[in-house]
Amino acid sequence: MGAEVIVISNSIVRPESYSEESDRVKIHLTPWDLFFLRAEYPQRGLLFPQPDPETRIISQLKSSLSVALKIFYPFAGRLVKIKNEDDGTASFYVDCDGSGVKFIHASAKSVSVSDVLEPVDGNVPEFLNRFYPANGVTSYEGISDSLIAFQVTELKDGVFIGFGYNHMVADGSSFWSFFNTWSEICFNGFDSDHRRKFPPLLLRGWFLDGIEYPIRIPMSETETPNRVVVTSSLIQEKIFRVTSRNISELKAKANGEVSSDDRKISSLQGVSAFMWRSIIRNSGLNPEEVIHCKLLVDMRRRLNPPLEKECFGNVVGFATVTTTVAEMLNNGLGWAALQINKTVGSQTNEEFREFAENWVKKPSILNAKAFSNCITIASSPRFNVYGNDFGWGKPIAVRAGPGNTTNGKLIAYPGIEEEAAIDRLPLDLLAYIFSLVTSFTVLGQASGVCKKWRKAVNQSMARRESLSFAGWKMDDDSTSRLVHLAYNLKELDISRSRWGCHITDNGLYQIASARCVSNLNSVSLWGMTAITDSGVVQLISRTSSLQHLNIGGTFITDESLFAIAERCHHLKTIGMWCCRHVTERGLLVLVNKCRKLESINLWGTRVPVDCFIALLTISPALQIKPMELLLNAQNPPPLLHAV
Amino acid sequence: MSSNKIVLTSSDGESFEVEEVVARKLQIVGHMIEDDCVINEIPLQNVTGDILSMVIEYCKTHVDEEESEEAQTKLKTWDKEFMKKFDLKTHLKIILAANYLNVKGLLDLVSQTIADNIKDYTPEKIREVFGVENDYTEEEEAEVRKENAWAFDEADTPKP
Repeated sequence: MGAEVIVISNSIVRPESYSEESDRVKIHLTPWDLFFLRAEYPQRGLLFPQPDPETRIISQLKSSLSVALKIFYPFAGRLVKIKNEDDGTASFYVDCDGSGVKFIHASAKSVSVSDVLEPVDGNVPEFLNRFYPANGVTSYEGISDSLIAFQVTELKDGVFIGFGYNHMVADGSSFWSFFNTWSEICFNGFDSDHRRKFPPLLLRGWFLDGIEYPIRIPMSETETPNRVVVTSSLIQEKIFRVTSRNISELKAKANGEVSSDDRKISSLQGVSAFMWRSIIRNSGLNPEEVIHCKLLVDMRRRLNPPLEKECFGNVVGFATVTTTVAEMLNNGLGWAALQINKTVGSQTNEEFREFAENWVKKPSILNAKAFSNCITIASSPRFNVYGNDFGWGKPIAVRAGPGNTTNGKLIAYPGIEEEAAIDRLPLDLLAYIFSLVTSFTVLGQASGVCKKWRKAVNQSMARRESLSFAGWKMDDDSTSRLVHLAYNLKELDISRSRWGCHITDNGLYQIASARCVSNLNSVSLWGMTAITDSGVVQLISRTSSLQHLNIGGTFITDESLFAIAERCHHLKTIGMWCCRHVTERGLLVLVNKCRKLESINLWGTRVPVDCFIALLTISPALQIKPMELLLNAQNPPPLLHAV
Repeated sequence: MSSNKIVLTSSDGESFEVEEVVARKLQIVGHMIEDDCVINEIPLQNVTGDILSMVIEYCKTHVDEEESEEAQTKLKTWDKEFMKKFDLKTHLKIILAANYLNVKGLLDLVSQTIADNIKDYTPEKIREVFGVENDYTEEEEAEVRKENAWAFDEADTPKP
């Protein structure tokens, strides 16, 4: 496919407000860094959906990049080579001089998102190589080239952000941490008012006691740096999607084939072993041939003392599994996975130090020979790839460029459906799930997950027809907030059912203004000792659909009853248990006006039996509780006389 | 009753031959049949074979929903066991499929299952399991926590 890629602009982005005094730091390089001296810049790229045409993505990306580079200043520096005339060696360090990074704006309007997403037979199309900057640039060239470079290519219906970085300066973990920060800054707005304070970058310092820096490398090793890969254009990149089901099956199968003490094989180890075996089986190599599997291992937490997890820099080492074709083929998946597992497990502080000490004595720089009959597993399914939203949507896919690849290199990334599954749940579906959750504790927790979840929890309130706060320690603001969200509410129970629950007239005022109030057909204010007529009257003034009201255990007086009589013409039942301040006068008005009233609970009130009879005269079918009072009207029970 | 067979094809090309009555449980298919736009094979773009097979299993079991209490109880038990077979990630895939294919009963069942299971996780755990990013600033997070503080007051302590 002849996709034309046109470069629109080519610029350098510098860190904002660079200060020579505080930012010009020297970073000394370790044997693991220098090991990559001839390695090409690893290249990765993210495919994004189409931004709104109004969004000026290029200027936004550049401005936010400048802010991100202020934080991740090593990327904006350059590599410096010192010639040590005394012994004919060279040394290198990173000078954080604020030189800036390359930023290319390009356009490929004939390419659509689906061309990138759905390559024929899983083969990554050739045109994708032109979406990356710094093609073929090696670490050594960081002397004059920027240590990280970006290319933003606008497609027919999407955007591809490609980048390449110097592996001596950062590893995948540090790179993604930078990228996450950049996208966050761009998303949240980068003027200083909106900006979140980011913690200062944590540099690793010199952690190799007994090794002097800068490390000296024989000049011959550095002068004509051969590319690690000269054949990258002959390599075909292919995408394999491994479903979560396949992953768990591979993991289970691998663990099932080893003894119970060894059952610690991870998903990635299971998948890696599977790929390795498949490649070897189809390689046509002779049985006696020696084969390797190299894995990049993050050393930060393996060192002693360990480095902080977020420590910036290149802190990866290679773990190499070695076997023969015959041995591999005579054994199963579990065996291969176990070799990987054990080799990764054996990468300890001692191993690393030994490597460093030997390396200083005899520096060896990674070259193409290291990768013959070898598969290499790089990157990690744990990197936060799909969380990078610059403000116009999350990435749709991640790809790797041609840089720093070799025959047999596997680059592992999370699959989008796996990690982003819940995010793809439409908001209303998430809200539907939350509407089925009865516990407010669970909803409170869900609200704390992220903004979208909180929105869904709020929306789930609107799906509810009934809310009961019985058993919860409610206050005015919380109750009213939730009632305001519950547009479709029909039944509201805010009865006091536990100590500490405290709702006052102020809460009732607030609730009264909620949209659902005029549709409520059932309200319980049972036991709310802090409310008075004032709050009840306010609420009742809007509950014109009310059919059931429980106001027992409160200190309301006839004033509330007058308001109810005035407003609630549909009232069928009312509970006034122990409302000692209501009188015959209020009750007569209520029963007179609310002609649909079927039942009234007057337990524990102080109204006399005569009143009951008067009420029945108005409404003969009315059920009055306690009925026995009427049956025993001739011998009134002591309750009525009690004060 | 017609015993027409219909072939449903998943996004990754897996085909399933099912009775028309079963296929109709997928309302998206039901509408297609009613609109007469069914030939004999229906491609379903947004669902993979492994998930589609689970949806079909559900639909087959629920194909004739009897009214009797006994039959209902039996189905409910089956539903419960069916859900137990999958982890949360699979539940998420099933809910998306049920939503897309419009299988009301299954949508309700999975929603309820997720709603029941979600209580066992803290926000940190949820973010980890679901790969959701915490996009709150510290201030916002504190505010949300404050807003919901009442819901975390578990001890029912009587006033002195």
